[in-house]
Amino acid sequence: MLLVCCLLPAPAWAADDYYIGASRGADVLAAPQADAAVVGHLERLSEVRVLERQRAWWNIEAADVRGWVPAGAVRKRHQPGRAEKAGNSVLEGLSSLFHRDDPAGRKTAVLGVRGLDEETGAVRGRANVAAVEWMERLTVSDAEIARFIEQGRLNP
Amino acid sequence: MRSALLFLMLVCMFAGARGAVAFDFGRLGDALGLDPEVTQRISQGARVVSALIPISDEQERMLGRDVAARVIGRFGLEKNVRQTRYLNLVGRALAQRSDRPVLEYHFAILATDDVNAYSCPGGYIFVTRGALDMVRDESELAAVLAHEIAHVTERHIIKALQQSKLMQVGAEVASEAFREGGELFRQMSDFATDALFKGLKKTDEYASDRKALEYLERLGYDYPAMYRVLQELDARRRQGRTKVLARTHPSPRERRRHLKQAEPSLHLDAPTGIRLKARFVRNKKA
Repeated sequence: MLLVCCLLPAPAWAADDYYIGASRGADVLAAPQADAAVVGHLERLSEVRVLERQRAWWNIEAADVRGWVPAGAVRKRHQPGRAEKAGNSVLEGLSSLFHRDDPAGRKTAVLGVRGLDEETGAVRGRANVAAVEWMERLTVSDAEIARFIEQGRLNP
Repeated sequence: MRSALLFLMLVCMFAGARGAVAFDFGRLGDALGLDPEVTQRISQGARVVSALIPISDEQERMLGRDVAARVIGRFGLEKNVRQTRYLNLVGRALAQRSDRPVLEYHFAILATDDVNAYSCPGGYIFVTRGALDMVRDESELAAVLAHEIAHVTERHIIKALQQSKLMQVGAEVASEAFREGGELFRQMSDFATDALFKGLKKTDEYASDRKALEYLERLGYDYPAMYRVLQELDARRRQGRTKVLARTHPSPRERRRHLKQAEPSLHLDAPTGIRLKARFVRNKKA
């Protein structure tokens, strides 16, 4: 039972919605990459404020440290006021590993191209699902392809 | 005891999904009063689950669609119906004879003068306006498309994804993530998008060049077109017009060298097949 309690997210009165959920806590790095300098360590259940998200790394601020942690180490707290049984909380907490709410409220359908740095020449952009749908509507039939091959005298 | 075990197994299902990183099974077992040996066995079981997991064609399509939306978000799409249809006729004719004809391939033009092409998982393939302006006949266009189709048929991005730490997850949870469009799905999409913009492995590029020759030849196109495209890319590179391509691909000169080495019996310097310049020019005027 002791352990079940420790698996629970921190109490609802906590100031921020996010906390470190990884069992061993998380090293805080100076930059969003695995080989960056370690600037601190946050224990499990430490409160964090999410400042920025870049691909698999989130820039966070805690009481006495600021830096980057793996996105998977951060969890969103349940909203206060939802009475739950301990068991449910645990499972929901675990499943939130995979279905974390986005702090900006964006859905998968509208995503920026993130994590692309200046070196690669790529910048953040919005996803354009409508244009993909346009692309998908523009189909050519097998008969048209066959005619196209025939007209070009390509191998039938 | 039984319910504790059941609970522990449930926890394993979720925790094992992330390569057991987040969980200390020993402590959990202790707290629940389980025999350490039982705990260990369950913990091992969870690790077995986190083996390489398959990605179905449909899952790949979903992922590719997400990546495609982001590629278009980055560059913009040229909604020229006639030219895009022409691109689809060439591309789909090639794809029909490819090693993976069952996918539904889509081709479109990105609104950028940079010379490049992108293939997202699942068969969403783009050429830039710059690339379209560079190629001189249909066989050269087909060469560019065949190279991109080869990335899809050889599943280069998907293989890289499967080998990444991201996919050290349980199959059940991974498929759940696909269905829900959850965090894991987003991370996979990030990974695939990054792979596109940062470049695949050099060996994947050489393999696609070689496969492209095969696809061109199957349809009767002039396969040395692949070689000519690489020559032209080399010229454009010197003019600084292939900045992104240069960052993400081995140099065209290296690619040509590899192609010749891999196919010593082929004559890549002289035309051997159908080039269809007139049809290309006619369709580009649209």
